[in-house]
Amino acid sequence: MMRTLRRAVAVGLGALALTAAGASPASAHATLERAVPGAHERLARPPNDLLLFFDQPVAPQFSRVTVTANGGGPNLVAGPMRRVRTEVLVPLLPGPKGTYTVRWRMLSAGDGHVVQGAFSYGVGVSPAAPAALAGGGPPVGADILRWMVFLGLALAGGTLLVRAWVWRPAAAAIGATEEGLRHEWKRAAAIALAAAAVALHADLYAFLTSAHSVTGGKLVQFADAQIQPLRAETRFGVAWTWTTFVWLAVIGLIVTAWIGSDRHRE
Amino acid sequence: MTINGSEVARAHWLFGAIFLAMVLQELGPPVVRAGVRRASFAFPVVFLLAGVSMWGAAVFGNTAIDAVVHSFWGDILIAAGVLDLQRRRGRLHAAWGPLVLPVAIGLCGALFLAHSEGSPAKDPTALWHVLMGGVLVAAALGGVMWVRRGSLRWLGAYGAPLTAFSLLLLTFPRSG
Repeated sequence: MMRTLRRAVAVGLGALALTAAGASPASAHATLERAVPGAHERLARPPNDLLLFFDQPVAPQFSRVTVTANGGGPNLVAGPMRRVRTEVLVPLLPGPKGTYTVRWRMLSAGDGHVVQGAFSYGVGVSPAAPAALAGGGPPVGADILRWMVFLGLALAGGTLLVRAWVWRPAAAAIGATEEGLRHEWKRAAAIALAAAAVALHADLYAFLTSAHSVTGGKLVQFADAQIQPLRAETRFGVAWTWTTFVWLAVIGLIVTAWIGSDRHRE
Repeated sequence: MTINGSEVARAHWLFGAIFLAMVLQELGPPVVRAGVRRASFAFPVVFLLAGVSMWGAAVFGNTAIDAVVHSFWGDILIAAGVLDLQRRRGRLHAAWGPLVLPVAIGLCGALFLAHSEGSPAKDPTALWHVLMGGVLVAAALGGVMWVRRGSLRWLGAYGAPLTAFSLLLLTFPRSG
């Protein structure tokens, strides 16, 4: 029974490791490869559409594009964006001659990072450079929390594996008592449990931090922000859903194994 | 996968039915026979399972505050369930052991009150949150007194609000 439970814990942690390993190739953010009209391009007439080509899928429903003429004025985007695979089509209203500044802010559907940028093109004139984007530096909170998830996974899995493959055989070889081995198992389980709990919480707050970077605004307003579409319609939201349940299963198995070791003593 | 208002209400009704059964099996025997103290594992195990369910609700919560508050509920219920289970199994001998469940119930009630959104006068869901928070805080006070004094009167002050909480869950508004 105990051995089965411990194997189940190992399988759960293995599943988490595979999830983490599987997520890493998709962790690069979406980047804008090119646009039509492109940066610094000079056109004879205002275009009807703006096409943005990304290197991986984005989620336009959580994204924003503004196009303004001559450094200000109204947003010339005529309607909702449409996405075809990695391309985003933005319908435009006609505007005057001059420099058009495109500011885009996209949610990478893969890793949930918000990427943004700006470029300009000209209609009837050679375009001037776009003004610098306002705002703070890159968001690091979500990255720190994701590292905590990986550290939790490494600590929980590492502790149990070292205990099973190194510590226990070594202790048995030097003639440790059954009581001593059980005490040592409880210590390993406590470390693994704490690490799993930290990872579970870091995972939740990493998702919420990413969601906040998408919705923007103050923290008080974010409390009532609808996060359900982000969870259900983005890959990082779906990944968070699964990893949460796997973490809960791992925690449940460690707790059950702990209680089972007590019963064994009885 | 997303969860709509009807499914949210059904989840509350299901939990209400299970919780009512557990309250009756936990507190019923001491009411029928004075001096009887139950050591059933069912009550803390329900706390544990409820804690895991709360984390599930955190994942499927609609808003950020839903996710955070349900995760707090999950933490409190899991911790209280494990500690009380160990106490009933004779593994936890601390003097504060019997107070774990009443205190956890009080913390959950306080979170209900903090989680309440909108005006209770206009929104039935907000009203239910306030009522559920209120009865849980009342149950916690009754529970602490029952642990300290052990009289039937305080057991009633513990059990009646817990029963009321179950009934509030069973009548949780569908719009929630």
